[in-house]
Amino acid sequence: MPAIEDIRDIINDPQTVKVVGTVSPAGQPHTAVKQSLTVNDQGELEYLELFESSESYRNITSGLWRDLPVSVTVLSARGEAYNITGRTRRILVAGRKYEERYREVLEKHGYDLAAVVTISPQAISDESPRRKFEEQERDRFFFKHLDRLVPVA
Amino acid sequence: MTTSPSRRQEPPFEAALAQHPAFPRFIALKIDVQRRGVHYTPEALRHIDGSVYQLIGDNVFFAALGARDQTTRQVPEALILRDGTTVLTDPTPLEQNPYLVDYRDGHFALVDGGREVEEVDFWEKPDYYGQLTSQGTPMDSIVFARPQRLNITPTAYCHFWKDDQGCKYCDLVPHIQKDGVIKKKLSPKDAYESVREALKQKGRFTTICMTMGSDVKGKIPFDAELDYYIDILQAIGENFPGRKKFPCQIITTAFDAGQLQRLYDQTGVSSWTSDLEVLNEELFKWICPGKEKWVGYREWKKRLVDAVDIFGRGQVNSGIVGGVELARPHGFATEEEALKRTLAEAETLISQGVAVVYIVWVPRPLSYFKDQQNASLDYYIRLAAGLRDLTDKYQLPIDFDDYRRCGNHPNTDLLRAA
Ligand code: SF4
Repeated sequence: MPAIEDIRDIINDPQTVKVVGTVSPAGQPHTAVKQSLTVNDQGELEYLELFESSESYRNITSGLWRDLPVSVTVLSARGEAYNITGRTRRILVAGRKYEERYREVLEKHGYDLAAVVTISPQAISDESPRRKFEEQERDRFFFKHLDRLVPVA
Repeated sequence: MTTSPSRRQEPPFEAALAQHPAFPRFIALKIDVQRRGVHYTPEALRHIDGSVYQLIGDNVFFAALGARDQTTRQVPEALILRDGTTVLTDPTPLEQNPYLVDYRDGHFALVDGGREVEEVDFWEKPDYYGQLTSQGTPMDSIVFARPQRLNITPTAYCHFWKDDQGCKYCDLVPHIQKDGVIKKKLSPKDAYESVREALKQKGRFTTICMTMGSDVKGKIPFDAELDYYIDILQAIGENFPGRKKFPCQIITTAFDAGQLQRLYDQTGVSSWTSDLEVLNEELFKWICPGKEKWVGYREWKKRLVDAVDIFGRGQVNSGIVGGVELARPHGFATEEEALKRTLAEAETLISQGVAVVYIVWVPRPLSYFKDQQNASLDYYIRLAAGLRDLTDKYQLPIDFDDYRRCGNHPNTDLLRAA
């Protein structure tokens, strides 16, 4: 399993697409692009929840309350992809650190800020298509179409 | 049938919570910490940096004035949990079995029975604390900060106490006298300047809440209270030029419809709260004699409902002191009955657009009910869930008094994830 330090640069790259997946209190899955997501100095994932009225903010709160996992998928501009499963560690809604991020958001986008969310990573899997294909070819003998086994004329 | 058990007979926190698997642990913990109070260990006190955190000051509504532990000074005003839930706490002597706030492994923690139950932090001190208005008034003596709200308490007196008709759970006037807290009447200019200064801190405040004791004076009773609020609110409103309304809550005596219309028309205030305190007419008469004498239970309810036409649905609510309906000797005999009757009465308000919010009753040593005990954790969990369910049933928003804009009502804390 890759460590968070191994993929810190990929996650912190602004070109990387970052998606956070949560589940609603009623069990509905929900995903949202969170380009603010980075790895912080403690090796945790941190991102900004912009809107207090959003489904993702409601889900991340109920997820922390119910100790549910959060799923994060990142895809770099070079095609590297990782899935990180973790648990919400903190929903920061006030204080100096929150205010610093609030000012950034206000200056850059003119939006308000609901919270700074911290997620402790628990499992990381490499989801790059090339690597997944090689693994499947190696480990799952029957998972293939026969035409691929016929030499190309 | 259940009755309020003594602390010793109560099931431990985890066992009580296990009876309510869908109820969030953070909110249950908040309730339990408020019920039992907190005590700071020497190690915690050694690590609390008064330049960073908001410690007890001389605002009349500060939790620790008149607290269960009368020796407490210079402790944090309140706690904040990892999910952003705030917990206004009552410093409590060790012999009453409070939670401990300790410092261990590099962080502050809530400890019970020697075991860390949750990491905690405290409210941070805002930039305007320590500053003076142009009239030389310390801003933090008149405008008190919660993590995201400015609390303004223009005067420190409730006229119901004059003829000994203060509410029986309340210690406002006795503790002011005992602690010698003298508060000048807030001037509109001081209010304007303090709010202006506070708002320089970007990202700190989402709302303003104003409240004070009742003032019966005036041509119509409470006109004096109303006029004073209007003066202060108009001054505060000058901070928001060009805006007819701004996010603001005012908690007053039950004004009549004419007074409320005046409040709405002449100020930028956007929500109104008037606390019934206990949802039962007979208990109201006993527990809140001043409110009964000057307005009366049924009229109070009527004025709340009338206010919905003026302020709008989702902009009016009423607070109750959760658990005081079980006070001896006239309170409900069992928690079962108290819950049933309270929720049924709450529904009569919620169905008409008046939200109901509760605070956890803390029997304070200078109040008439000083020797009593609040309700069980199980009761408070069921009260919070019951009110949340009614709010859901009638689709009534309470944004102006939720976890962020207030942080002292377990039932509105739940709405974050409803
Ligand atoms: S109205 Fe009742 S609760 Fe409010 S300050 Fe007066 S006595 Fe206390």
